[in-house]
Order: sequence, then structure tokens, then C-alpha cells
Amino acid sequence: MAKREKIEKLILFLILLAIGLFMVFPMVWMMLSSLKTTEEILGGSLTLLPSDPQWSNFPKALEMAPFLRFVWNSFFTASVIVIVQLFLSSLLAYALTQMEFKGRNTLFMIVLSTYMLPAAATYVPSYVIISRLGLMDSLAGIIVSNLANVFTIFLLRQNFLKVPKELIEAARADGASEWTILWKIVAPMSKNALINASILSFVLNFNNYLWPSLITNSEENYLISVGLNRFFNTQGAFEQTFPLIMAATVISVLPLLIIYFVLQKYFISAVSSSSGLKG
Amino acid sequence: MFVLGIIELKNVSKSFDNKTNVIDDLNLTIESGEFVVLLGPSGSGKSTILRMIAGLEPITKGDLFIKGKRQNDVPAKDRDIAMVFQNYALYPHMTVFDNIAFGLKVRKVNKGKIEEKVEKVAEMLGLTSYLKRKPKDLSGGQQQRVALGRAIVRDTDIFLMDEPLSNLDAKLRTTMREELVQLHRELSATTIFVTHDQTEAMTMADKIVVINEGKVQQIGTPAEIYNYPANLFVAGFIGSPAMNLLPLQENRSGFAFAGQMIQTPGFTTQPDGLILGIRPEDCKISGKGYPVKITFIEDLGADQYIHGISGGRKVVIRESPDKRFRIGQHTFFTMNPEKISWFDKKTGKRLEPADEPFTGDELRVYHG
Repeated sequence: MAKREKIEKLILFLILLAIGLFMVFPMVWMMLSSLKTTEEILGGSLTLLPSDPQWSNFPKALEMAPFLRFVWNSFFTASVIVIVQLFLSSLLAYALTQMEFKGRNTLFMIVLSTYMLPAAATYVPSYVIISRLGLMDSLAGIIVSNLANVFTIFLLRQNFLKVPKELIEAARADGASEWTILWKIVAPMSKNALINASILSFVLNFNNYLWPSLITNSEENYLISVGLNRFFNTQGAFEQTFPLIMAATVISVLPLLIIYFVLQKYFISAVSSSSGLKG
Repeated sequence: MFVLGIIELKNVSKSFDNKTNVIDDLNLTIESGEFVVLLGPSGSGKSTILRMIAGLEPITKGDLFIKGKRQNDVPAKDRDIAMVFQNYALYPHMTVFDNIAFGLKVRKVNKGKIEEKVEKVAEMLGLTSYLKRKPKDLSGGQQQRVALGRAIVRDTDIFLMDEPLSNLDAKLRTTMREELVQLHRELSATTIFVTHDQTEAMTMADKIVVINEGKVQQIGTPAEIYNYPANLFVAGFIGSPAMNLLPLQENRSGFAFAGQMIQTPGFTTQPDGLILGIRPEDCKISGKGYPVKITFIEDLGADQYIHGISGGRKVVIRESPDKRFRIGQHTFFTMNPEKISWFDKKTGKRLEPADEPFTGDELRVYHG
């Protein structure tokens, strides 16, 4: 019996290992390619390791376009979005879970129903709104248009529901205002959910491509995803710059990698808390 | 002198669905400094009453006054009431110190004062060495003390306690009971204590309010409630084992039980059928009286409870432990006639003998 279980575990492990390698391979390939020459990448024979690591690819890539600026833009907008989004979503989630008012469930259903809209369907009206607000081609436009996130609201609501009702009542009897209860009781008790929501939202906004590419035109406002695309895919000399593309891409994922290693344990719970919800 | 109660509920009703009233037309006056126990079975609405006083549950109808001011629309946080919850409701992410200090912090009491007060309360409750711990690192009894500390530190004169002892083990419950009574004596704050445990009610209360199905059944001191139950519900609910409630047969010459005539007093109101109530300790096994067949003997060491069948009814008789009885034995028992309570079979209400007029000053019996 125990032996059979061990074998089953081993098989499962091997399958997972294979899937894991399969998933991580493009990432490793990208990193190794960033140190190769064009010939090595596109030449006939497939090699894994660079024969002579081309570290100069990195400074060269940075010379071609202000990638550090793009990375900063992405980092900055994602950070501001996460902070404001968490603040606003906490307020709404608190009202939806702890306050009694007419139409509370209806409001939640309306909020949820927007989640079913395909993102592309909102582009045209959003575009009009951003342009009326005079926020076209600005980082502010990117930030404002991403402040509301149904998923964050949903995740926080589910977690705020887990705070025992008695604690809220105890705080009220202790004389605490709703504002104090939210920030001193509910939020600290939902710390993990807040961290999870910020990680998911940060990654989403850091990697955001299509919408920012629609509303930004000037180079100084490019996010990294937009910048990478504009500077390589749309240029003719695609082949010559292949290692540079890889180098630039490595630079672009570095902030996420660092965040991942620091917050590893939260990442795992963030992903599992969103599974079954993110399509 | 007419003293206004510190807490007054006037014609208060509560409904969750706008159809049935969980609390129905409740009138209750609680005087300053009293230890009042709301006693009733689960689902009787006693916690709802407490929560309405605290402001955690809106009042559907009627008025709530605290210190003479109408409170219906005052939010919980502004009522200046301290509440202790059944599950203690300690903030899990805060230390014991912060838990106790929370109510003062939100009131913007200055830091030095908070420290001084929390330390004083912690000393009073024996929590001084636990101030830096989190609630999860405390035992049930210690958690309970923190919950009490959080209430005491507020210096308010009204305490509400919602079954605060029900999560403790039997031994700890007895100790905490004593401590609470002691504490009440020291602080002399008005305390409303909700419980379904009659032992807690009998041992702690200045005044017991018996509640069933959202209605007050009786208000009185523990002795009044025990000795003069206002109706069949109270008679059956208070006392363990419960009072023997024996329906009498009516015949041409009067009332009878188990084939024996029973002398009944004249009543102030004409009863519609009669039920006799007698506590186990007011019955004695004897050579004469009402025939009883012993079915079960409960030996508690200090006493033994003799369970038997008499006149087709179960009866329980308390006897001293040195007497010997056996199961299946046919014998007789007598009742102390002075200790008999009479109830109207139809209404379930207590009947007062006409020849001993009932003095309303001594007893505040509420015929709900």
C-alpha cells in the first residue's frame, strides 16, 4: 500500500517536473539568448548555452531606447494603481460586507456583472472618457483608467466576510467609527488578502499592454511592454536586434522577478486564491 | 421616591422579517447598579434584547431610554456601553495590551493615561504578565479576563454580557462567576448578563428576568423566582431537577391526585382546571400519602433523587442519602402543603390563594 503510494507520488512528481520545465523553458531561453549573438540564435545549429557570453548586449539595448524609463513608467503606474486601488476597493468591500443599506446586494451584483464584460468592449467608452478628462497620452490616464478593479473588490469582499461579526460589533461597542474598524480591525485581519490583491494587481498592471498602447503616443509615456513592442517588432531590422530584444526583455522582467523572490510565499497563496475565478 | 431606571425599555418589539415579533411588547426597567440576569432557553430572544440595548440591533417598535435619554437612533459607538461577548471577540492581531486599550485609543485618551489604566485593570484581573501576548497564546479563562478587561477599562457604568461564561469549562465557570460578582461589587456598574444557565442566574443576579418566546415571563429576585414561579414555564424552567407539575382530576367534591383528594385553597380567580406544583425537596417518601412506584434512583452523594410514577405521572422526590430504596418498590410520598404552587391549567398562570392575600410589594411578578 505504502509502496504504491510512493510510486504514485513519484509519477506525479515527474509529471509536474516536466510541466514545470516546459513552463520555465521560454524564460530560461530568453535569459540565455540575451547573452548570445544573432548568429547563435538564428544559426542552423541549436545551442543552449552561449559560447561566449555577450554582456555588452545589455548596454547596447539600453542605448537603443530609454528602456529604464519605460520600466520606471511601468513600475510607477503599477505602484500608484495598486495603492489607490486597494484603498478604494477596501472602502467598497467594507461597505458591501459590514454596513447595512438598501440595495447592498444589488450593488454587488452590478459591480460583479462588469467582470463579465470583455475588456475590449470597454475600450471605446473608456477612450472617450479618458480623452474628455484630458488625460490622453499621460501616465495619469493609465493610472486613472485602472483604478477600479472588480477582481480586487471581489477578493477583498470575500476576505472581509471572514472577519467574525462579533469583532466588528465589539469594536462598535468599544466606540470605534466605521473608518477605524476598517483600518484598525478588518484590514489588518485581511492582511494576506490585501497582499495577494496587490501582487496580482501589480503584475497585471506592470505587464499591461493593449490599453496603454492605445492611449499613449509619446515615447516618454511608454510602459515597458509598449516600448519593447514599438522598438523592435515595428522596426524592420528585426533579425539583427534579436539578442538586444532578449536583453531588453530581461531588463523588463527584472523588477517582477525581484518582487517574486521577496514575496514568494504570498505569490503562491495569491494565485491559489484567484484560481477558479480568473478565467 | 420614584427612581427612574438607568435603562428602560418601553413597549419594545423586534422583528427581523416584519411578520413575526422575536421580542413582543417588552417593558423592562433596570435600576442603577443592579446585576440583572436575562434568563431563558436558547432562541428566547434574550440576546436580542441585549443587542438592542447595545445598539447592535435596531429596535423595530417602542423606545429605549438610557439615563433618561432616548437611544433608538444613537449608534452603538456613541452609547458608552461596554459589552462582553460569548466568544470574547478579542482582536486576534493585537496584543492583550492593545486589546484592552482599544476602546480608550479610539476615544483619543492620551497615551500615559491609557498605559496607567490598562496596567491597573491588568493587575486587577491578573493579566500583568500577559500584556504582550496575542489572544491565541492565552487559555480560555485568560481570554475571558481580557474581554472583561476591555469592558472594565472603559470606566462606563453599564456592562452588557452575552453568555460570557458559556465557553469555559465547568470549574473555571464557577471561579469566574465568583469573580464577576466580586467585580460587580467593586465597580457597582449596572450589569445586564444574558444566560441560559439557571445556576449562573441564581448565584449572580440581584434580579432575574425570565424570558421565553420574546416575552417576559417573570421578574424577581432569585428566591422569588424559585419559590413563587409566575407560570408553568418558569416553574418548569427554574430548578434542577424541575418542579413536579401534577395535573389534578376534578370531581364533584373537589380535586384529586393519584386517587387521593387534595385540599385546595380558595383562589382569587376561579381556575379552569388545576395543576399542582411541588419541588422535589418539598416531597418526602413516607408510609402514607400518594402511592408511588420507584423507577430510578439518582444518587448524588449529598442527596438522592427518587424518580417514580404516581397517578400516571412522573414525580421526583429528594431524599437524604442514608435512606435505602430500591427500584420497583411501591411506597407513598407526602408533600409539604405550604410549599405547593397552584397553576391554572388553561392559562398556565400562577394562582394565588384567596385567604393569604398576595402582597405586591414583596413580589414583582409579571404575568406575561
